[in-house]
Amino acid sequence: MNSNILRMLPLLILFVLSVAIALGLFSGDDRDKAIVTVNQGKKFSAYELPSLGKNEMFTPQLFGGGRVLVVNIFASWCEPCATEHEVLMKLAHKVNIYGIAWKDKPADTIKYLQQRGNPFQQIGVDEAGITTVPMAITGVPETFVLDKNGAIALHYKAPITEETMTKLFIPLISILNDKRAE
Amino acid sequence: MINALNKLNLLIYLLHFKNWEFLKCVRPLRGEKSDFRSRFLYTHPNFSVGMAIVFLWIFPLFAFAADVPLPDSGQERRAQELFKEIRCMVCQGQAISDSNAEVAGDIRRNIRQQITSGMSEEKIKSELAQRYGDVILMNPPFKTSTVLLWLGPWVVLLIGGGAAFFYFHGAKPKKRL
Repeated sequence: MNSNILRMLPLLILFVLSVAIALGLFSGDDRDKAIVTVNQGKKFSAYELPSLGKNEMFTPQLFGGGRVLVVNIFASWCEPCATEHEVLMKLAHKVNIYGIAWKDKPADTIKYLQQRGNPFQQIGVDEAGITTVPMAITGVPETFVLDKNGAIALHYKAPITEETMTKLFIPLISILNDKRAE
Repeated sequence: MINALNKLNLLIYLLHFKNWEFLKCVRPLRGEKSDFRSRFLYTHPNFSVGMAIVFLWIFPLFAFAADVPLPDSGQERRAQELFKEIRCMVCQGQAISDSNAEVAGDIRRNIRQQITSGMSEEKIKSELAQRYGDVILMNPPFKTSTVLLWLGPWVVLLIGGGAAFFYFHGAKPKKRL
């Protein structure tokens, strides 16, 4: 009897291990994987960028100041951004959205926005990609939700869908709106 | 990287010169049947020279178009060493030293800037890890959260090796009996 259990032991270990790995692999949905947690609560560090079609600069002073806002990193050459754009147009009714055109020629960005409408309050032009490292960007589209103090409440590195907008972004924005700025 | 590639391409280029000379020798005299070798496109002298030019000039240009090496060779060497330790966040298994993803290029440029401004390697790495998380380091640091990662394989080896040891040392005499 005792030796039987011993003989089964390797198989048992294998079984437990496989269950643990399978749980790790399949639990949680893709939405959770798109949320970058390292930067949560940190001050959003923005570079000074020229803004598109305006004479003023796109500066860090825009952020914080008692307003909840969304910063969206996009590019005209990025296909997922184009699908996300429709959602952004709707989200723009709820919250101020600022855009950063990442590694994109200003002329292309203008054409892109003329075709699809402009949900952004202001757009920073980052042709060279200088914002990549300070903002921990891995690609486009990426979206930041900033609280009233200008700290990162959410760093989302996937295109926003209709569903994520209603289930994640809008509830979060309303919670942040209710909080008082420090 | 580019340097090594250029050397390799130069070698290929020179090899093809040799090939060219060789082809000249076997080229048939007028009236003779043509040699079969010259019918293959890649043995044609123009083709090999053309390919050499393509490799020599265009390929290195495409590889890392955005990369401008630092004027100070010592600093550039330090930057190159550091590139090997930073993971490309888009291509995961690769270091930024041999990735031509857009983001990898940006991080390389950022590291070069910080090296010229006199920042230490450790500081640069810790700043990147703060922004992107520890994943960005090719060798994740030894912490309580990474104990399993570092020691897991050794523990498995110990269990397996121990089991094997006891199995072979314990079972053999029994079988002989």
